[in-house]
Amino acid sequence: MTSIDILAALPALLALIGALLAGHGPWSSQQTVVRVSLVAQRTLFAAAVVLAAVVFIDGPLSAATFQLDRLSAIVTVLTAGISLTVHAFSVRYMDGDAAARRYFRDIGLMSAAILFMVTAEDIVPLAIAWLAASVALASLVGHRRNWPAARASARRTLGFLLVGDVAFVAAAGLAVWAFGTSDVQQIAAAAAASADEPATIGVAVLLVVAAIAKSAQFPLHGWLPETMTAPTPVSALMHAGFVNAGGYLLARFADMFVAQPMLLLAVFFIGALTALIGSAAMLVQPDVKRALAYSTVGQMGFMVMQCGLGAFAAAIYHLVAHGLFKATLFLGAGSVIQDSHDLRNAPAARAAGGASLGRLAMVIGAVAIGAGVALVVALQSGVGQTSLLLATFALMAMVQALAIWTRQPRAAGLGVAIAIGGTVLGFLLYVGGVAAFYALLADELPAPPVAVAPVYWVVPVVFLAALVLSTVAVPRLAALRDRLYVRLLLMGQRPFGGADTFTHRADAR
Amino acid sequence: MTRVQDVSFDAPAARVAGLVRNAAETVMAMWPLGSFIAANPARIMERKPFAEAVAEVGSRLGGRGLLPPSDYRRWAETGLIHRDAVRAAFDRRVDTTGTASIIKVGGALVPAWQLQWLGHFEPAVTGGAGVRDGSEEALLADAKTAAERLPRDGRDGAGTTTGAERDDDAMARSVDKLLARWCAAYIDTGQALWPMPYRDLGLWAAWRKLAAFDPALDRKARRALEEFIEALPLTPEAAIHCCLDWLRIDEAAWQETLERHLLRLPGWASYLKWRAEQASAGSPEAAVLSDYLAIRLAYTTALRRQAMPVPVVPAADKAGTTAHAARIDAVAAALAGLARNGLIDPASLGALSAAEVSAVNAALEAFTETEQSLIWLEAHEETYRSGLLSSIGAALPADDDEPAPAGDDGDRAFGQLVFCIDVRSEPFRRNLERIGRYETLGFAGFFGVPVQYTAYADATSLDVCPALLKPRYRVADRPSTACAERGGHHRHGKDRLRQLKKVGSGLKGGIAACFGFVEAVGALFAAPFIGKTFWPRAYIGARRRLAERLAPPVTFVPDLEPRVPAADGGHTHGLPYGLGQDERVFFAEAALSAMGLTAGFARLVAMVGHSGLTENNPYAAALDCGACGGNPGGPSARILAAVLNEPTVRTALAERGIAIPDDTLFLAGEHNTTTDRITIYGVDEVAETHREDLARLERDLAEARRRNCEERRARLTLAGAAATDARDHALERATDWAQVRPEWGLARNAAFLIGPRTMTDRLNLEGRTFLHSYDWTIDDGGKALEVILTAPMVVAEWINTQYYFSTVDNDRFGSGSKVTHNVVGQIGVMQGNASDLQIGLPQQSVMVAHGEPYHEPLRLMTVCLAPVTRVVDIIERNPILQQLFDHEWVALVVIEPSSRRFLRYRPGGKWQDVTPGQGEAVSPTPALSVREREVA
Repeated sequence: MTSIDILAALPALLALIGALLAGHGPWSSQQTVVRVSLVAQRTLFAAAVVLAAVVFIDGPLSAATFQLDRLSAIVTVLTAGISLTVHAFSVRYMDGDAAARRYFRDIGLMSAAILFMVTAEDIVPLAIAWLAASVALASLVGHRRNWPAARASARRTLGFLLVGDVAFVAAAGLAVWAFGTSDVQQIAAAAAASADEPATIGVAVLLVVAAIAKSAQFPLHGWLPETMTAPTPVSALMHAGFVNAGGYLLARFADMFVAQPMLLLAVFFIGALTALIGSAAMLVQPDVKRALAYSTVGQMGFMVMQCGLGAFAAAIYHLVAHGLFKATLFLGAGSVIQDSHDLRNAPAARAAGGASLGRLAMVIGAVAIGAGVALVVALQSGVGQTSLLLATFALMAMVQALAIWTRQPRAAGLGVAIAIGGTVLGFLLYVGGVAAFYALLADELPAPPVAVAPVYWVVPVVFLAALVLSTVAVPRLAALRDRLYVRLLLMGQRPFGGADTFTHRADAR
Repeated sequence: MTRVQDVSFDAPAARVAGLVRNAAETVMAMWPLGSFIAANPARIMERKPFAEAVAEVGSRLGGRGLLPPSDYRRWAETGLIHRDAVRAAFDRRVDTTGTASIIKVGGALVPAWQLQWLGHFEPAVTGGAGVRDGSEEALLADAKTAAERLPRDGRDGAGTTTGAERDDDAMARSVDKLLARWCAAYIDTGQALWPMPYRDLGLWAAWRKLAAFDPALDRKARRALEEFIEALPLTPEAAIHCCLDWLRIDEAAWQETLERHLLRLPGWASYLKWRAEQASAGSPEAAVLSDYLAIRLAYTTALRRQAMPVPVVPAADKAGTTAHAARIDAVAAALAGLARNGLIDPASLGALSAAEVSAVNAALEAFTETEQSLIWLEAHEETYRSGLLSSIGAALPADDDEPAPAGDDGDRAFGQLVFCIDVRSEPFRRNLERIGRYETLGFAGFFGVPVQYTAYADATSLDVCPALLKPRYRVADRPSTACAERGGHHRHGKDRLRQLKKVGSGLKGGIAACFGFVEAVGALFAAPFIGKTFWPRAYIGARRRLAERLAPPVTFVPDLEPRVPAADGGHTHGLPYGLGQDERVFFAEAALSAMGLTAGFARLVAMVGHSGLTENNPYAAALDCGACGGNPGGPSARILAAVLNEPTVRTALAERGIAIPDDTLFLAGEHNTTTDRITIYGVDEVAETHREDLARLERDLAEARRRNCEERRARLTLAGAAATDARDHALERATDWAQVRPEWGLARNAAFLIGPRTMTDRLNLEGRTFLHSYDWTIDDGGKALEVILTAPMVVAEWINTQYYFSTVDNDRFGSGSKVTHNVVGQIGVMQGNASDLQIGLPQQSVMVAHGEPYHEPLRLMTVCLAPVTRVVDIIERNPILQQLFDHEWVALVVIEPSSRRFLRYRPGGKWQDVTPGQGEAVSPTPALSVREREVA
């Protein structure tokens, strides 16, 4: 371990020290425990920001065991910021909890594990951190030890995650054996150079399995919606930090995956399928936390899909934006009832069928403008079809925004102009954000392919179809729709025995 | 075909409907959390005397009816329960004279009750760590050694459930899970953008169409379930009948079976019951409890007939190891007590046989925890009540005549403020009264006007009246004349904001739109994420200012003009708009005379409603006004104040003997119980004549706020607190999205006092009492008192029992810890991934920390200053009061104005003299029958 190692791993080390001190330090008062872990988190966030500034100005900190380049600096700052905020939130939120001390230890350990994962250069500490994160999360999911549902959820979570963890350890072992090095960058480079070797393919496939489990991708997505026995702030850190690990892993080994086009194609479709399942399941959930969980499943699917497309920088942008978005929604999950008052009292929307031709024309016109802008921006930025494919998703968001807006009363004239302006502004924000990440990470991540095979275009078309079907009723499809509804509503729930994550009244809590 | 089937089942179906109705009595209707209404979750048990009822809560409803004795012991050790009160309660409930059971210990003969006293009560009430010298230590150690000879018995650990029972339980668990899911989907009021298909046909009909698609079923099981459902009748009642037949349940046990099924998920059943009550007759939802039971029974039958896979039996998950240790502690305490009191020779402790120790243990165990807790509860209540009564007795004005408010200006109060009876009003009233010449009154926070209120720019309306009443009029806000122009801006801005939110929520939940949306705006969420966590006050303040920029604040006045309801799609439920002249006079007179304010009006008289302020809190409405149906109380205050300011109303009132001086101005305000700020409405539009008075009032309110915040801070520690000013401290709680306890709400409520403020104005009642103003001298025939006892007091009993049961069994009757709450359907919360719908109050509202109650669960004591004959008549007329008082769910003490004697009502209509200072308050004097004494 050199001083560069320590510097690169400083935020993670501080998190670890803070967690251990909070959990096992020589103090018993809750206030001290809380203060210790907050001080550690504040310090590590400051360290992360300073180090990131150094990396962006001065170039990466690289050593044998830990490193900090632009990619890991971005994810470190995000994780540290979310972890600090979640800790500060927990101080008030967990007040009076019987096991608050263990809570602060475990959530500190989880953030330490994620930070180690992000900064590890050697695959051995990376594997250890990868595993430790799962264990810390399971402990938090089972936070209330005397609650049977919590214990069952913890077991279930760990069971799913271990599939990925075993795959990761196997990949690490295989890589060290095949390439004779435990350095992540060297492994990626060696694998890129020997793409057709069975060992290389094995490593790549195993890493994909590991990423799929951590990021809750189909078919290993079932654990995420059953983690609500964890206190709310844990969910925030989980959905904004923990689940990013899969996408981050794919990006870290980007060079290796770029040399495996078939595997990337599979990753693309796994991501797309997960995105579809997740966002469809989100639509039917009657409880806020499960809806948020499926939303995360979908968003992580989109992130993995971006990786599959080779647009790794876009995936990193997505995980940052989604992390802030989802952490906020989770911490604020208690406000749905207060918020529903505003939604209920919004001026009544017009009936769906009642949209006049003029409005429809306006929407179409707006879409055409949007599409034109998208095309021009995409072509001028020179990134080509990959960005175009991703831009179709932004376009779909614009269409839906306008569709909702045009159904609002008093939306004509100035209202429509504002709406179009707003959506275009949103689109530019999106393009700007993605472009910035491409630019920032240009040295570290491979550029997205310029040309995209036609088979990839199936996905936007399917989503467009889903968008249309979700807004227009087709009577002939009613039976299919009902079947799909029930499948999504009851997905992953095991009413007939199995790990009982349902809270029965008879169970003492 | 449908027709034939229905007809053939008609008579049985009607019978089943009756059974369902009866079974539904076991659960209380639960309001959606958006308008929190307190209820006694064990209402059905009020049909029995309290002591009997709480002992049966476990077997009847599942759950605890009393705190465990260990909690009481802890309180007793801190002096919260007095020794004398414990001993008195013990003597009352235990026969300490008989010689029925005598135990032989260490060569001495000891009555069982003595062991019970020494083992269960004495150690806690003698102050535990008091005098503990060396010999005491040695004695305790000896006693402990002796007690440890107690043999372990086989009752710990494994239960004695049969295989069949386990199967039943496993099936019931599966059915619970399925039902919770279907219920959640069915009742959802806006969470899912893709709602459950066929909901409008009713739960049963929708379920019939969807159930077989369950992905947990394989193809064969799906076909079997499909056929099974196909064979079931179309109406839920007939289906229930069928299933009960198929399950071979004896007809005599049907109702009990249905009750058991409802009580598997009492929360969901409670909410469905509310939905059924709200539904118009004939709509499918009116029978939703039948739907629910039909589905439960259908699943149960299908599982029994193996039309669905038989569930795996979950591993038994019970632990019972602490029981033995607790027994040893009690035995040791009893033995040490015997030795200490010279009943046995301390030296003999070492020679006690296991059989003797077992005999002691048996004697101790013969005294159940329920019996112990009942004694503790009575002692706890007695400690509080005797303290309260003697301070009232000491503080009662010496003069027999109430100081009659005359028109004499020297006596005239500077301001009169009418607050809600809510326990949170008392500290504020006390603090305000000590600042200047203020008179405060207590009155139900809806100010007697049962209306459905619509805020300006809102489409939905609120029923701002107690759940006991139905609104009778409809009142909407309109901008005041001075603000007429800005009103439009306000509405427009508000609409825009809400539309934006709607677009946002649509994009967030769009199946294809959500990805692009997140990438476009996700990063902007950093602002609320960080701002709300680190600078909550500043963030919420900035958000409010921004909202006010878009929708400028406007002074609203209630639009009272009677109008014919416009055609608005039946939203009015046929209620008339506005109040006619007669109604205005009626409500004005009723309110003023009920609150005892018919003369001596000050220049300013303010009606002060109340509401809470809290962020990110599903239980926000629980902090609002219970008398307004769990809604803010400001609108009701504005309505009454507006009515009372009308010259025509005043003229009419003068004709009825209530002369309001011309210089009296009625104001309306709202007391924010979380921050203690009182907002007076329409201050800009107050006439020049009263400007100065108003300024002074506002100054004094600000000072009262400061004092009350200081007082509140002592009871609310703030984890990681930064603010030094108590007001900021309170504001920080109110605006913090991480705050699970913005205020203590109505915790520690324990008494309901009816009388003039002079009865209590010298006391610090610690925010534990509901205060209802009442002047018996102006209440002809006791009409006003009858209303107070049968309406506000009954609502107070709901609140009191809700706090009681939420504290004694937070898992069953409360809603558990907030940190794992999961809001479902925008109407309630579940625990964790999925669970029964949670009823009652969260752990954080009644406890300081897990297992450490803050609320002291005491039954309500009503104290009323009025002639006892009047009270007797009222009780005789009202069965509800007989039930509450005779079954001792509420204690009643009447202070006879003429004699100043305190008379305690005892079951069966006896009155016991409990006048403080007359001997031991806790040693009962012989009961006196009012009838015999002919109290005048």
